[in-house]
Amino acid sequence: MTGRAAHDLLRTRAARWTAVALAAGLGASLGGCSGSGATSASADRLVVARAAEPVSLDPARATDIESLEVAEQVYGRLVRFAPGRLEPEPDLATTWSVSDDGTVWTFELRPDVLFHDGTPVDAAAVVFSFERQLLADHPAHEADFAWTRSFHNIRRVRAVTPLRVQFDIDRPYAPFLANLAMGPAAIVSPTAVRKLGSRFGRHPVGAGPYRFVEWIPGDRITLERNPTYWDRAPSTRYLVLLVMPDSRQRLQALESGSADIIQQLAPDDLPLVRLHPDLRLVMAPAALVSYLALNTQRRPLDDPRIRRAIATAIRRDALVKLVYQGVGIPAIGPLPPNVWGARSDVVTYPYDPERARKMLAEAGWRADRAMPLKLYAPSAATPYMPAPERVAAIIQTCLADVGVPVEIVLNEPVEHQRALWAGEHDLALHGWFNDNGDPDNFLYTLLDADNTTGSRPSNVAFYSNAWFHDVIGVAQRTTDRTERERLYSQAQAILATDVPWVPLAHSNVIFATRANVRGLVVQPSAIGLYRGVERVP
Amino acid sequence: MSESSGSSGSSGSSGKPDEISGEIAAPGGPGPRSRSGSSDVHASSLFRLSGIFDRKRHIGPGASLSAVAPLRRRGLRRRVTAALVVAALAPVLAVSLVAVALIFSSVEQGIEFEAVRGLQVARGLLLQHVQRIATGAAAVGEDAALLRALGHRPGDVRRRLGELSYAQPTALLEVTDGLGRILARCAQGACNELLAGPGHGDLAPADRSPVVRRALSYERTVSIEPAGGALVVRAALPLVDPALRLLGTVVVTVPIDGAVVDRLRAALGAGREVVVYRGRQPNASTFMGATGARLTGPPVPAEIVETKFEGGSARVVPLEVDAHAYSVAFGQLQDVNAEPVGLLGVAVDREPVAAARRRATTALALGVLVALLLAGVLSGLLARRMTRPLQRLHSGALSVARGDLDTKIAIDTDDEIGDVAEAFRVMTRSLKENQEGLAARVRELVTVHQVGRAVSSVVDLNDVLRSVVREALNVLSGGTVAIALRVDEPASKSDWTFAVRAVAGADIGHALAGLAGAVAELGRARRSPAVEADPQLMQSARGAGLTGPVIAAPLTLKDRMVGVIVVGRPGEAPFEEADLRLLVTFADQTATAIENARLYTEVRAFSEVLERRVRERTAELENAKLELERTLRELGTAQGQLINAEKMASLGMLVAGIAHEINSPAAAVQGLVDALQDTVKRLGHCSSDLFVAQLPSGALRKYFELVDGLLPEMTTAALSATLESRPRAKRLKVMLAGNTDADVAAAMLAELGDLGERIAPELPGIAGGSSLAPLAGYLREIGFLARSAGTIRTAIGSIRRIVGALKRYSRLDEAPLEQVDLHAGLDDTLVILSHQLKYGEIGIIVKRSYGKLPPITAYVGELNQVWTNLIHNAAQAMGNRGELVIETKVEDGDVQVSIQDSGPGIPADVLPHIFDPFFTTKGKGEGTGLGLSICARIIEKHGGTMHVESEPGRTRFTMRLPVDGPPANAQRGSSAMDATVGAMLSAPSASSQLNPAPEAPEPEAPDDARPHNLPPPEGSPS
Repeated sequence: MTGRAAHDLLRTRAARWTAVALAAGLGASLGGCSGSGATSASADRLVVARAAEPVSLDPARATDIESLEVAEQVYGRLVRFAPGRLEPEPDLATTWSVSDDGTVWTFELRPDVLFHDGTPVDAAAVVFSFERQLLADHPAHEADFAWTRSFHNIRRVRAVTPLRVQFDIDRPYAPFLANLAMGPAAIVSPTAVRKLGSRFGRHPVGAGPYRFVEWIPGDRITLERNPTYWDRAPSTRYLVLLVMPDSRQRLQALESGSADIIQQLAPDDLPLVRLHPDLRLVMAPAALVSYLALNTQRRPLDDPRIRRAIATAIRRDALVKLVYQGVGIPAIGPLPPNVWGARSDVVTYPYDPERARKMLAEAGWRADRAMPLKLYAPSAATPYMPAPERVAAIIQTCLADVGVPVEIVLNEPVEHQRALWAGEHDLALHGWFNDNGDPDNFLYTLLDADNTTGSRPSNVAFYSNAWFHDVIGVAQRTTDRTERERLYSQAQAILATDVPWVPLAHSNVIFATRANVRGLVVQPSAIGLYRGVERVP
Repeated sequence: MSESSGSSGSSGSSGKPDEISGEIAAPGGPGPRSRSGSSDVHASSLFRLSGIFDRKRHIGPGASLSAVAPLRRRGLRRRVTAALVVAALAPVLAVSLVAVALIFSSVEQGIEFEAVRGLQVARGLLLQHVQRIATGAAAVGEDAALLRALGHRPGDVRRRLGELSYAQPTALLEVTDGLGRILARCAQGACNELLAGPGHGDLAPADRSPVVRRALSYERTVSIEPAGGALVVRAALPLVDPALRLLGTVVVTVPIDGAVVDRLRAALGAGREVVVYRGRQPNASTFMGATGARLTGPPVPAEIVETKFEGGSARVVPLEVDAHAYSVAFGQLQDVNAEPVGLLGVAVDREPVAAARRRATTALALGVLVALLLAGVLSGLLARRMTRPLQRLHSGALSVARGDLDTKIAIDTDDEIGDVAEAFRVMTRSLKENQEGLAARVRELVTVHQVGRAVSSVVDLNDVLRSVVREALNVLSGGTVAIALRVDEPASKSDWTFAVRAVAGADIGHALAGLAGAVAELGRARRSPAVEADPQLMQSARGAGLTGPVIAAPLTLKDRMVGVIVVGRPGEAPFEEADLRLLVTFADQTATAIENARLYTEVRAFSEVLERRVRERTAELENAKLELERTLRELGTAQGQLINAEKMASLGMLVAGIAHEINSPAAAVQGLVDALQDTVKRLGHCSSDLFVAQLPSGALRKYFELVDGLLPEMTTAALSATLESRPRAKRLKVMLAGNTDADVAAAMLAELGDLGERIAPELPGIAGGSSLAPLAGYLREIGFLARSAGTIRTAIGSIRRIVGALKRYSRLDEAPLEQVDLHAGLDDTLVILSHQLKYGEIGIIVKRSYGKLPPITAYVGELNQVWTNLIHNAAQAMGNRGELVIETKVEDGDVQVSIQDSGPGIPADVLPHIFDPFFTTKGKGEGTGLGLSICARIIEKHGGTMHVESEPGRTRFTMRLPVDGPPANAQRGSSAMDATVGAMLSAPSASSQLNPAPEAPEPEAPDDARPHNLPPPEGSPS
């Protein structure tokens, strides 16, 4: 009996070992295969291919879109732009209030939030982050801080309690909150800044959804998920931002699967992406407007009737479709549709050459006696317009058709800008990229009488309307959002009647992703929000 | 075990002993057959073994064992060898299999990977091709000459497009106007609006394509889409003048044909094929048939047809094309709206894989074969070394099994096998000893068994004793055996005397009584090696002439010595202890037999006495039986008398009621007949008056016609009340005013009621001015006559009804089983008892709630008796005023009748007894106490049940009767009542099964139990 039992035992054991060996072998084979079959973008890594290398990851220095995009992932701010909209929502501050006179803003901070280096996010850190930019004698102040002007109206930043911070500003200014949502308002870790000094820009420490891991210049920046992020932590562990200057190279990386997301797609590549079942286009209207500025201070454009006739004579929709080829939408007014307060029901001047001729005749226009209008256009593509020369030619043809002679003046972009500041033009192609998502940033900056003077007037239509100026001024001092919307609506109606511009287009920001990428949000500021991105199998 | 069974079979010819030895050898080898048969073997082996011992044979015929052993000799080594081979080979085999599986799967995955990668590359190239076509289209769209021609000289459009088409030899160029209508269609310089160039003729014109529609809204588009039977790349863009006026569109269409897929294949390298599908139909491929002709492509595999491609996923499936195996990666092709338009497949040749698989399989097979050979040889050698000592042990064990317990096993190793050998040696020794003991024990058992059998089968004491001595002589190899029994019962042991009762062997046994005495005096069994040397026995032995070894044992029964058994043996061989043990057993059994014999004798004597007594008692019983029969007969007579009494009681009840019922109408008839005499007399006078009256001619005839017509109405009309007739007379007087004797006539007519009033206007016309009195008087008398006749008819009808009911009712026990309408029976009973129910000022309100009943099979008379009894009781209980509810319905297929009264209820102590026969609370002579019992019996006989529940104000008897009538056995009773009473007499408490509701709080006294002093029912004139 003993012998038999032992024999059975032996046999059972042998079988078991055989099974173990088989399992191990199969496991190894499977593991090996999955390893060989995987592309470089592994399950725990989200790879984004971008065109350029960031300048600095210190939010006070960064001005380029690449730097700002990294800062968006690494830093927290008091408020942030809601996904897909240029509208502030709570970030490190949970609530805020404004004093009755509109000059004291108080923010309550989110408790128990830490910077990536373990330093607590408190009122002192907020004060530090602003003071180092505002105070020239601050130990951490650097000469090349780029955004000092954005916050010039801040008189004082105070830590009231560890979780309450107060800003005193010099006059009531409603867009202040939107300014705090901009990149340079990021809250930095004072510990890290003090330790690293000017090297902080290469080793950023914030309280955002990702923490900085490494930066291999010319190749990549690697970020890692912040597990203690106060909001939902990102679903992929690593975010890798590659530098690939060539758009063809970026597209190939996306096609082969070695990148999950690419930016700045060449327009010629759009059909390929559309026809490729593995790839998807993600488009969002940018906070950007391109326009034909009419110099309202020169004859004959000081007559709004002439300006309205010119607007009616331009075949705008076809122009936008042909020139932008699907990456832009025709503009109705200065505000892109994703900026709050944008009004879509103002008077427009649909293309009607017959009517334009009549309008000109009513305004006393004499085609035979008219001097040609000088249309200034940049000679190279700009971020807001892919083919300005062609646009200028189309406008010229359209206006000639109704009896308005136009002479095109092409200039290098820098010279073009200078000529516009100098007010040499009758007509000019120009564009504006919004900073903070506040309507004020378009309406006041581009069209208020305040900005027609100085060495660099941003109002290149030199438009000056007292009523408009009052409305915009009141809106700046009003903190009530509904009231501001009403005022901006009124302002847009004034513009639609006065026609200081012929608004042309709002461009789209275009990203391309693998088909299995979900949840990518492209902000109107052209920054990608990667914290909600998931990859489905 | 097949060897074992085979061996027994083969040695079967040697007979019974061999078979047994086979069984004994069997424990050496375990097996189902020997185990399962073991109980049989033990059960039967006693007898067989006894046979062996009778013949003094030893166990161990070796013939069968020698047949078994060689077959098994090499089993162990074979197993060890096999185990070693398996142990050596299994890992090799497992590892080889795993390795091969791994290689196969990685090769397989490699192929899939290649195919998917190829698909990626091919798709990239195809899309680049698309992009190039878009660029080409853009060049055409910006051609200034074409734009000029389109704007100013439409006739030149075709010529310019033809020139442009030379630059793109594979493309079909089309130009539409601003509304999308085709203006020109050119390929390779040839222009035709409908057909253009080789390979393009079957392409549908682009004017309906979505890309043209997009171009008409200023968009540039390139897409992949089906056009006619082919999949094409189509690029379109708007043609505009400098002011952006839309002049038309230009469309460039390039089919995805063999040339395109060939280019894709060229980029993929050898062993790859490309195939493109339009929808799920093959469009173009690089596959070549056996003849070298290009194939359009294999059909789409079924699993791909079903596949829904999600976000660019690729699927790899095996596919056989022209008898060649491929792995094909399929991916989707989509148009500009991301709608699927077709498939792109890249095939990877599987031939290299198949070859690798063949090589691997061959190598594996060879390797396994070599390993098997090596393992076999090595294992054999090793096993031989390992099993040699075991072999020796095996042969030693076989010798032992053969019966050679002296076998020496020559193993002297210091391992486990050495230990086993030593243990085996010890085991053999102990086996030998045990075997000898076992043999002796078996011998004893056999003898005891035989003696026991002999003793138990014989009742005669002498036969028993003879049998015992015979067996003892046999088994103990004695020279003489004797049994001596004690013959008296003195107090002292020394005074006992013995008589020899049975002897076997040498004749000296008869003289052994003395020796028995000596043994008895010792009081226990004795074994002497030589009796002459035994001081206690010597003397008496000598007296008998007994010499040599002796054993003796007393026969003891319940501490009482009844005799002695002595065995002597001639010669020197002494008895052994086992012999004495055996003898004691014999002695015990003999003593038992003696006791049995004695008991048997006693029982015989006792049973004789018993039999005699039985005979005496039987005679007494016969007498008692006759007495009983007589009594029963008398009882039957009494029973008949009782039944008659009950019948008479019922009848009495009836007669009283019927007399009244018949009396009333008869009296009415009597009165009317008396009155009629006067009426007839008056009628005579009236007739003569009529004839005397001076009536106009024909008036009399008219008058009689009138009277004849009114006669039927008069018969049924009511007699006019005096109060009513007065105002009527006044009215008539007014009506007849002016006629002779108007007031007399009016009074007479008024007695006729409405009829009079109706006829009055006719009369003056008939009278014609003479007196109206004779006419009215005649009419009055005729009217009275007619009414009396009607009333008499009603009274007689009433009498007939009662008589009829009585007739039906009275068919008490002669009625056969018939279909009965229960409602008719109940109504008849109510008619007959109606005088009771009308008793008193207020009387009894009878409520009948009859359901719809089917006719049931029953003895109608008996049921009527039940109803009579219950209704009569109820009426009495209520003091003849209250409410009687009779309810019938069908429930669960049975008919249910309930009779409920509003009497005071039956007291709780009475309720359980109301169905007991002779139970009554009435005074002597008022009731037999049988009424309810008989009712219950009748219902029971009909196969029904009866049930009572009672509380003050509500006593309810409920009867359930089956529709199909009484059960078959009950129908054969001569009379229900006889059977009923008979049953009651034999089982006085049988009514307990009738279920009187015990929970009723205050039962009322029914029928015979009624304690009240109510007046007896009597007729009452109304």
